Amino acid sequence: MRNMMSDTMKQQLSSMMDGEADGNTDLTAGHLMESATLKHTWWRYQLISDALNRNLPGVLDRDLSGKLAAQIAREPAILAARRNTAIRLLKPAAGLAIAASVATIAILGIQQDSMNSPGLEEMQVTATRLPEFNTGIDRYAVPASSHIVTIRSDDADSVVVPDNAAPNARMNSYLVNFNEARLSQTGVQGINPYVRIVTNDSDN
Amino acid sequence: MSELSPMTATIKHTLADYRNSICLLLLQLPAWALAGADGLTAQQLVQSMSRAMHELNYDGVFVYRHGQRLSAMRLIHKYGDDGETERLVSLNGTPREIIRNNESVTCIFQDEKSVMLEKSHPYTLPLAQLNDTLDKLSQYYRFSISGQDRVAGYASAVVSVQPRDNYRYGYQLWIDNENYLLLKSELKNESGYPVEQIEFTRLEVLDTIPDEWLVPAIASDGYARIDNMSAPVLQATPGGKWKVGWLPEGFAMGVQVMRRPAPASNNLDHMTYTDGMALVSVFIEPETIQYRLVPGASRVGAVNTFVRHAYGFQVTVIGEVPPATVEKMAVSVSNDN
Repeated sequence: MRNMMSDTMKQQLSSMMDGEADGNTDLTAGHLMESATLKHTWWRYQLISDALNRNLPGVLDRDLSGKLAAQIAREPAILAARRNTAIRLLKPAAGLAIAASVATIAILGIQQDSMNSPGLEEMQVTATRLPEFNTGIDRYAVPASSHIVTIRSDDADSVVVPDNAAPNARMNSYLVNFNEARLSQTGVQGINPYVRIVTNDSDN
Repeated sequence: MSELSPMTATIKHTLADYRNSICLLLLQLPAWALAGADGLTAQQLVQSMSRAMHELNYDGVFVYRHGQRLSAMRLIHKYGDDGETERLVSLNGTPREIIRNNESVTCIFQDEKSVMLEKSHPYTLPLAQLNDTLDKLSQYYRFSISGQDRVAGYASAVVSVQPRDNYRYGYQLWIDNENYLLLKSELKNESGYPVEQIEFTRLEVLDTIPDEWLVPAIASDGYARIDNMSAPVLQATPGGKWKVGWLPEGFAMGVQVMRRPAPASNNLDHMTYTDGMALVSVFIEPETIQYRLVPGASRVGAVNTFVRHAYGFQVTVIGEVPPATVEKMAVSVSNDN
């Protein structure tokens, strides 16, 4: 991969992110993992997509929208490719996200390193790390075992990340028990459910 | 994969035996129309895949993509007299590992310096039940073979499993023509877009897996431990006081257990519902300040969750299904008392 990416490549990346690349691109997930340039571009597009989806974690920079707009302006290929996509992305979420609180309850270590991608240095998006919690019975730390993203909170007071690790540890325990049920009770095995716990989004 | 390792080459007879046993088992199946590799139908390929994933020894590296995120992982799977043991390791970023055997699931997280232990539930679905499941599944999913493809150097059949309604996800499965292992998989949402994908970039089927390959590389001495292995399983009342009033067509209750998770707290009900392909868990426990989850919808990869507080209890529904499904199920939960 050369340093310069073609607009075509950018558009293919954009399509791939939107799940529209079936049979229309030579790019594969393997290509992305092997090329630093492709990966960095991928992460830039991802952040833009997250912004459009309102899936950004924890505490956000107040001026983020302006910086995102500037970032989008620096990506002519993605802007052209995603003009319709933005509308489409918001549509399915309209019933969920627009009138609802968007919060991250347990994004543990998520996206910090993706912020190091070229061109994103000025975007100060801070992922909230949850503190350890001492029960007095055992040192009860929250494992960074999952990336739980709140799509819609029905609790108006829950926009701020709760300063309490125990619920997140409970959710992690739920996820493991769900995985075990998935593996033992369904006849058809597809994606190993534990990939969702092992995945390390923060380092890319 | 361009070349087989020497070890792989020496075990071809074992794999041939395995394939023969698969073919013999398939003779017992209903006479579906033949297609695909070895003349197998889509359902037969899926069945063979499900068995192969449990009953073969393999070591591979794959890329996991969910939404816009990518991760690389290594999966080592061993099958022997003691059942299954597998080790899943993150290859990028801070090390994380999961070791799973017939007794336990151990999750090790270097970044948080913590270890979580839970009881595992080994796969025990008998072949006859798997046949019945696949027959039943065709009422709710359309099975077809989309074509042939090549993944990680292996020729594979591409099997499409499309849901007949919007309350479950669709699947696209790339199944190895030779060993029936799953080489690539996509989970597709209601619009047909992939929301999750795994794709092996390297995979070797082996005769044996050395035990040392299954030992975690993370030295977890001194890490915080969350041990739910010893959580007592209590007697649950079948169909107890809790009722899930709405289920997608074809879903039925799997199991219901009650336990007391660590640290000592209130009893927790866990009910599962499955159509044979997708599974939804419903967790119910008294609402407490300590374990109160944010109500509403969340997701972990393609797994959706919905939390609701009602009757003084916390209802958490988790499933590899669309958000609407977990929400409708959560809202329909009622208490007979």
